[in-house]
Amino acid sequence: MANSNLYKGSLTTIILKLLSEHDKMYGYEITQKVKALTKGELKITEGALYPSLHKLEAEGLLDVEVAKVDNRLRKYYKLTEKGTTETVHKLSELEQYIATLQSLINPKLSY
Amino acid sequence: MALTQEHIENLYAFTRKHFVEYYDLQTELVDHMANDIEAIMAKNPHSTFEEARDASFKKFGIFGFMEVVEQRQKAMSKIYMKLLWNYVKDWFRLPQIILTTAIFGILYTVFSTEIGSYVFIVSYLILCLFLFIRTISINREIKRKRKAKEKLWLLEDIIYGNASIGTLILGPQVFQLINLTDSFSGFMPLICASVFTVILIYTYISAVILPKNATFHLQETYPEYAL
Repeated sequence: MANSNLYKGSLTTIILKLLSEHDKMYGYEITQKVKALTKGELKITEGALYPSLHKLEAEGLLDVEVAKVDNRLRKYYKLTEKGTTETVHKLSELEQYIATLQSLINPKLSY
Repeated sequence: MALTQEHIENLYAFTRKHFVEYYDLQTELVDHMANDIEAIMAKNPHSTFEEARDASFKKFGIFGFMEVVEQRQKAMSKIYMKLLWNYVKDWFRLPQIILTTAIFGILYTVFSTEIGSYVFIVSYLILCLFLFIRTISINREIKRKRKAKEKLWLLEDIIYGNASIGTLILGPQVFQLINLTDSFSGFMPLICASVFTVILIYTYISAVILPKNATFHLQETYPEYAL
Protein backbone atom coordinates (compact mmCIF):
# COMPACT_ATOMS: atom_id res chain seq x y z
CA MET A 1 0.00 0.00 0.00
CA ALA A 2 1.48 3.33 -1.05
CA ASN A 3 0.20 5.27 1.93
CA SER A 4 0.81 3.36 5.15
CA ASN A 5 -0.82 6.18 7.16
CA LEU A 6 -4.20 4.89 5.98
CA TYR A 7 -4.04 1.71 8.07
CA LYS A 8 -2.36 3.16 11.19
CA GLY A 9 -5.59 3.83 13.03
CA SER A 10 -6.75 0.29 12.34
CA LEU A 11 -3.58 -1.50 13.40
CA THR A 12 -4.84 -2.57 16.83
CA THR A 13 -8.07 -3.87 15.26
CA ILE A 14 -6.05 -5.87 12.71
CA ILE A 15 -3.93 -7.40 15.51
CA LEU A 16 -6.98 -8.21 17.65
CA LYS A 17 -8.82 -9.77 14.67
CA LEU A 18 -5.82 -11.99 13.81
CA LEU A 19 -5.44 -13.10 17.42
CA SER A 20 -9.15 -13.91 17.62
CA GLU A 21 -8.64 -16.39 14.78
CA HIS A 22 -5.54 -18.02 16.30
CA ASP A 23 -4.90 -19.46 19.71
CA LYS A 24 -1.66 -17.46 20.08
CA MET A 25 0.75 -15.62 17.79
CA TYR A 26 4.19 -14.01 18.00
CA GLY A 27 5.26 -10.66 16.53
CA TYR A 28 7.03 -11.85 13.40
CA GLU A 29 4.20 -14.28 12.67
CA ILE A 30 1.69 -11.40 12.74
CA THR A 31 3.71 -9.36 10.20
CA GLN A 32 3.98 -12.37 7.87
CA LYS A 33 0.31 -13.30 8.23
CA VAL A 34 -0.82 -9.77 7.30
CA LYS A 35 1.58 -9.74 4.36
CA ALA A 36 0.26 -13.10 3.13
CA LEU A 37 -3.44 -12.28 3.63
CA THR A 38 -3.14 -8.98 1.75
CA LYS A 39 -0.79 -10.45 -0.88
CA GLY A 40 1.92 -8.00 0.14
CA GLU A 41 -0.35 -4.94 -0.17
CA LEU A 42 -0.19 -4.19 3.53
CA LYS A 43 3.07 -4.41 5.42
CA ILE A 44 3.03 -3.87 9.17
CA THR A 45 6.28 -2.20 10.17
CA GLU A 46 8.22 -3.47 13.17
CA GLY A 47 8.33 0.03 14.63
CA ALA A 48 4.52 0.13 14.73
CA LEU A 49 3.71 -3.49 15.59
CA TYR A 50 5.54 -3.89 18.91
CA PRO A 51 4.35 -0.60 20.47
CA SER A 52 0.77 -1.65 19.60
CA LEU A 53 1.24 -5.12 21.09
CA HIS A 54 2.76 -3.68 24.28
CA LYS A 55 -0.04 -1.12 24.59
CA LEU A 56 -2.70 -3.81 24.23
CA GLU A 57 -0.87 -5.93 26.81
CA ALA A 58 -0.74 -3.01 29.28
CA GLU A 59 -4.47 -2.41 28.76
CA GLY A 60 -5.14 -6.02 29.74
CA LEU A 61 -6.45 -7.01 26.29
CA LEU A 62 -3.57 -9.42 25.63
CA ASP A 63 -1.87 -12.04 27.74
CA VAL A 64 1.67 -13.25 27.10
CA GLU A 65 3.50 -16.53 27.35
CA VAL A 66 7.06 -17.46 26.53
CA ALA A 67 8.34 -20.72 25.08
CA LYS A 68 11.78 -21.91 24.06
CA VAL A 69 11.80 -22.49 20.31
CA ASP A 70 15.02 -23.83 18.74
CA ASN A 71 17.74 -21.99 20.63
CA ARG A 72 15.85 -18.85 21.55
CA LEU A 73 12.90 -17.61 23.58
CA ARG A 74 9.68 -16.69 21.80
CA LYS A 75 7.00 -14.43 23.22
CA TYR A 76 3.44 -15.34 22.25
CA TYR A 77 0.40 -13.09 22.56
CA LYS A 78 -3.15 -14.28 23.07
CA LEU A 79 -6.46 -12.55 23.75
CA THR A 80 -7.76 -12.20 27.27
CA GLU A 81 -11.48 -12.31 28.00
CA LYS A 82 -11.52 -8.50 27.98
CA GLY A 83 -9.60 -8.61 24.67
CA THR A 84 -12.18 -10.91 23.08
CA THR A 85 -15.01 -8.52 23.98
CA GLU A 86 -12.99 -5.52 22.77
CA THR A 87 -12.27 -7.26 19.42
CA VAL A 88 -16.02 -7.51 18.69
CA HIS A 89 -16.46 -3.86 19.60
CA LYS A 90 -13.46 -2.66 17.54
CA LEU A 91 -14.50 -4.70 14.50
CA SER A 92 -18.00 -3.30 14.52
CA GLU A 93 -16.52 0.22 14.83
CA LEU A 94 -14.22 -0.43 11.85
CA GLU A 95 -17.04 -1.89 9.74
CA GLN A 96 -19.13 1.18 10.46
CA TYR A 97 -16.21 3.41 9.49
CA ILE A 98 -15.70 1.52 6.20
CA ALA A 99 -19.43 1.86 5.43
CA THR A 100 -19.25 5.61 6.10
CA LEU A 101 -16.22 5.95 3.82
CA GLN A 102 -18.02 3.94 1.13
CA SER A 103 -20.98 6.31 1.25
CA LEU A 104 -18.56 9.22 0.80
CA ILE A 105 -16.53 7.65 -2.00
CA ASN A 106 -19.43 6.06 -3.87
CA PRO A 107 -22.49 8.06 -2.88
CA LYS A 108 -25.77 6.51 -4.05
CA LEU A 109 -27.47 9.45 -5.65
CA SER A 110 -31.24 9.53 -5.52
CA TYR A 111 -33.37 11.77 -7.67
CA MET B 1 19.43 -22.04 7.74
CA ALA B 2 18.61 -22.03 11.46
CA LEU B 3 20.68 -19.62 13.52
CA THR B 4 23.22 -21.00 15.98
CA GLN B 5 23.50 -20.17 19.67
CA GLU B 6 26.47 -17.95 18.79
CA HIS B 7 24.29 -15.95 16.37
CA ILE B 8 21.64 -15.51 19.07
CA GLU B 9 24.30 -14.23 21.50
CA ASN B 10 25.45 -11.85 18.78
CA LEU B 11 21.87 -10.54 18.39
CA TYR B 12 21.54 -9.95 22.15
CA ALA B 13 24.79 -7.95 22.04
CA PHE B 14 23.47 -6.11 18.96
CA THR B 15 20.27 -5.01 20.75
CA ARG B 16 22.31 -3.89 23.80
CA LYS B 17 24.58 -1.88 21.48
CA HIS B 18 21.45 -0.20 20.09
CA PHE B 19 20.23 0.96 23.51
CA VAL B 20 17.85 -1.86 24.40
CA GLU B 21 18.87 -2.42 28.03
CA TYR B 22 16.06 -4.62 29.23
CA TYR B 23 16.07 -8.37 28.83
CA ASP B 24 12.33 -8.77 28.10
CA LEU B 25 12.47 -6.43 25.11
CA GLN B 26 15.85 -7.77 23.98
CA THR B 27 14.38 -11.30 23.90
CA GLU B 28 11.41 -10.25 21.76
CA LEU B 29 13.56 -8.27 19.31
CA VAL B 30 16.17 -11.04 19.09
CA ASP B 31 13.49 -13.59 18.14
CA HIS B 32 11.98 -11.18 15.60
CA MET B 33 15.34 -10.45 13.97
CA ALA B 34 16.35 -14.14 14.07
CA ASN B 35 13.18 -15.10 12.16
CA ASP B 36 13.76 -12.34 9.64
CA ILE B 37 17.47 -13.16 9.22
CA GLU B 38 16.61 -16.82 8.58
CA ALA B 39 14.07 -15.74 5.91
CA ILE B 40 16.57 -13.33 4.29
CA MET B 41 19.31 -15.98 4.24
CA ALA B 42 16.93 -18.58 2.79
CA LYS B 43 16.06 -16.16 -0.02
CA ASN B 44 19.68 -15.08 -0.61
CA PRO B 45 21.89 -18.05 0.31
CA HIS B 46 25.04 -16.05 -0.42
CA SER B 47 24.38 -13.31 2.12
CA THR B 48 26.31 -13.51 5.40
CA PHE B 49 24.73 -13.41 8.87
CA GLU B 50 25.97 -9.83 9.41
CA GLU B 51 24.53 -8.62 6.08
CA ALA B 52 21.17 -10.24 6.81
CA ARG B 53 21.18 -8.82 10.36
CA ASP B 54 21.82 -5.29 9.10
CA ALA B 55 19.12 -5.65 6.44
CA SER B 56 16.68 -6.79 9.12
CA PHE B 57 17.61 -3.89 11.42
CA LYS B 58 16.99 -1.38 8.60
CA LYS B 59 13.32 -2.41 8.62
CA PHE B 60 12.96 -0.75 12.04
CA GLY B 61 13.45 2.62 10.33
CA ILE B 62 16.00 5.40 10.80
CA PHE B 63 15.52 5.57 14.58
CA GLY B 64 16.19 1.85 15.00
CA PHE B 65 14.74 0.37 18.18
CA MET B 66 14.17 3.80 19.76
CA GLU B 67 10.41 4.00 19.10
CA VAL B 68 9.86 0.45 20.36
CA VAL B 69 11.86 1.18 23.55
CA GLU B 70 10.01 4.45 24.22
CA GLN B 71 6.59 2.91 23.73
CA ARG B 72 7.54 -0.07 25.89
CA GLN B 73 8.45 2.32 28.70
CA LYS B 74 5.06 4.02 28.39
CA ALA B 75 3.22 0.67 28.42
CA MET B 76 5.21 -0.55 31.44
CA SER B 77 4.54 2.69 33.34
CA LYS B 78 0.85 2.01 32.78
CA ILE B 79 1.27 -1.48 34.29
CA TYR B 80 3.12 0.08 37.26
CA MET B 81 0.35 2.63 37.83
CA LYS B 82 -2.21 -0.18 37.82
CA LEU B 83 -0.20 -2.06 40.47
CA LEU B 84 0.13 1.08 42.58
CA TRP B 85 -3.58 1.85 42.25
CA ASN B 86 -4.53 -1.69 43.35
CA TYR B 87 -2.43 -1.30 46.52
CA VAL B 88 -3.87 2.17 47.19
CA LYS B 89 -7.42 0.80 46.85
CA ASP B 90 -6.53 -1.89 49.41
CA TRP B 91 -5.70 0.85 51.94
CA PHE B 92 -9.24 2.10 51.79
CA ARG B 93 -10.76 -1.30 52.56
CA LEU B 94 -11.20 -3.03 55.89
CA PRO B 95 -9.09 -3.59 57.98
CA GLN B 96 -6.49 -1.11 56.57
CA ILE B 97 -8.99 1.76 56.58
CA ILE B 98 -9.08 1.52 60.41
CA LEU B 99 -5.29 1.93 60.45
CA THR B 100 -5.50 4.84 57.96
CA THR B 101 -8.12 6.58 60.12
CA ALA B 102 -6.03 5.93 63.26
CA ILE B 103 -2.89 7.41 61.64
CA PHE B 104 -4.85 10.49 60.57
CA GLY B 105 -6.44 10.81 64.05
CA ILE B 106 -3.11 10.60 65.88
CA LEU B 107 -1.42 13.06 63.47
CA TYR B 108 -4.31 15.54 63.74
CA THR B 109 -4.31 15.34 67.54
CA VAL B 110 -0.54 15.85 67.79
CA PHE B 111 -0.43 18.60 65.14
CA SER B 112 -3.23 20.47 67.01
CA THR B 113 -1.13 20.82 70.17
CA GLU B 114 1.03 23.87 70.94
CA ILE B 115 4.16 22.21 69.62
CA GLY B 116 2.20 20.77 66.64
CA SER B 117 4.15 22.70 64.00
CA TYR B 118 7.50 21.43 65.34
CA VAL B 119 6.22 17.84 65.53
CA PHE B 120 5.08 18.18 61.91
CA ILE B 121 8.48 19.42 60.72
CA VAL B 122 10.34 16.71 62.70
CA SER B 123 7.99 13.98 61.34
CA TYR B 124 8.53 15.30 57.83
CA LEU B 125 12.32 15.30 58.29
CA ILE B 126 12.24 11.71 59.62
CA LEU B 127 10.23 10.64 56.55
CA CYS B 128 12.72 12.39 54.22
CA LEU B 129 15.63 10.73 56.03
CA PHE B 130 13.98 7.31 55.69
CA LEU B 131 13.44 7.91 51.96
CA PHE B 132 17.02 9.13 51.53
CA ILE B 133 18.45 5.97 53.17
CA ARG B 134 16.07 3.80 51.10
CA THR B 135 17.18 5.58 47.89
CA ILE B 136 20.84 4.91 48.66
CA SER B 137 20.24 1.20 49.28
CA ILE B 138 18.09 0.88 46.11
CA ASN B 139 20.70 2.68 43.97
CA ARG B 140 23.41 0.40 45.34
CA GLU B 141 21.35 -2.65 44.34
CA ILE B 142 20.75 -1.28 40.81
CA LYS B 143 24.46 -0.48 40.39
CA ARG B 144 25.42 -3.97 41.60
CA LYS B 145 23.06 -5.58 39.05
CA ARG B 146 24.41 -3.48 36.21
CA LYS B 147 28.00 -4.18 37.20
CA ALA B 148 27.35 -7.91 37.47
CA LYS B 149 25.64 -7.71 34.02
CA GLU B 150 22.58 -9.44 35.42
CA LYS B 151 19.38 -9.39 33.38
CA LEU B 152 17.62 -6.05 33.71
CA TRP B 153 13.83 -5.78 33.80
CA LEU B 154 12.04 -2.56 32.95
CA LEU B 155 9.26 -3.01 35.51
CA GLU B 156 11.85 -3.59 38.24
CA ASP B 157 13.61 -0.35 37.28
CA ILE B 158 10.30 1.55 37.35
CA ILE B 159 9.43 0.10 40.79
CA TYR B 160 12.86 1.02 42.19
CA GLY B 161 12.91 4.40 40.42
CA ASN B 162 9.55 5.40 41.87
CA ALA B 163 10.61 4.18 45.31
CA SER B 164 13.44 6.70 45.34
CA ILE B 165 11.75 9.57 43.52
CA GLY B 166 10.04 10.65 46.79
CA THR B 167 13.37 11.99 48.10
CA LEU B 168 13.64 14.35 45.13
CA ILE B 169 10.05 15.58 45.50
CA LEU B 170 9.74 15.80 49.30
CA GLY B 171 13.32 16.83 50.23
CA PRO B 172 13.37 20.36 48.76
CA GLN B 173 9.96 21.18 50.31
CA VAL B 174 11.47 21.18 53.83
CA PHE B 175 12.52 24.84 53.57
CA GLN B 176 9.04 25.91 52.43
CA LEU B 177 7.46 23.99 55.30
CA ILE B 178 9.68 25.64 57.95
CA ASN B 179 7.95 28.94 57.06
CA LEU B 180 4.63 27.31 57.95
CA THR B 181 5.55 27.10 61.64
CA ASP B 182 4.62 30.80 62.10
CA SER B 183 1.07 30.35 60.82
CA PHE B 184 0.29 26.85 62.12
CA SER B 185 -3.29 27.50 63.26
CA GLY B 186 -6.89 27.28 62.01
CA PHE B 187 -7.24 24.59 59.39
CA MET B 188 -3.46 24.04 59.12
CA PRO B 189 -3.24 21.04 61.50
CA LEU B 190 -6.15 19.39 59.64
CA ILE B 191 -4.62 20.04 56.17
CA CYS B 192 -1.15 18.90 57.30
CA ALA B 193 -2.51 15.73 58.98
CA SER B 194 -4.49 14.84 55.79
CA VAL B 195 -1.57 15.49 53.42
CA PHE B 196 0.92 13.73 55.69
CA THR B 197 -1.34 10.65 55.97
CA VAL B 198 -1.55 10.44 52.15
CA ILE B 199 2.25 10.89 51.83
CA LEU B 200 2.86 8.19 54.48
CA ILE B 201 0.61 5.68 52.70
CA TYR B 202 2.11 6.48 49.28
CA THR B 203 5.66 6.19 50.65
CA TYR B 204 4.90 2.91 52.40
CA ILE B 205 3.38 1.41 49.22
CA SER B 206 5.93 2.72 46.70
CA ALA B 207 9.10 2.48 48.79
CA VAL B 208 8.39 -0.57 50.98
CA ILE B 209 5.58 -2.85 49.77
CA LEU B 210 6.14 -2.68 45.99
CA PRO B 211 9.95 -3.21 46.12
CA LYS B 212 9.38 -6.04 48.64
CA ASN B 213 6.88 -7.74 46.30
CA ALA B 214 8.87 -6.87 43.15
CA THR B 215 9.87 -10.48 42.40
CA PHE B 216 6.26 -11.61 42.57
CA HIS B 217 5.12 -8.86 40.18
CA LEU B 218 8.04 -9.52 37.82
CA GLN B 219 7.10 -13.21 37.64
CA GLU B 220 3.50 -12.21 37.01
CA THR B 221 4.40 -9.72 34.25
CA TYR B 222 7.28 -11.57 32.56
CA PRO B 223 6.76 -15.27 31.80
CA GLU B 224 10.46 -15.43 30.87
CA TYR B 225 11.52 -14.27 34.36
CA ALA B 226 11.35 -17.81 35.73
CA LEU B 227 13.11 -19.38 32.70
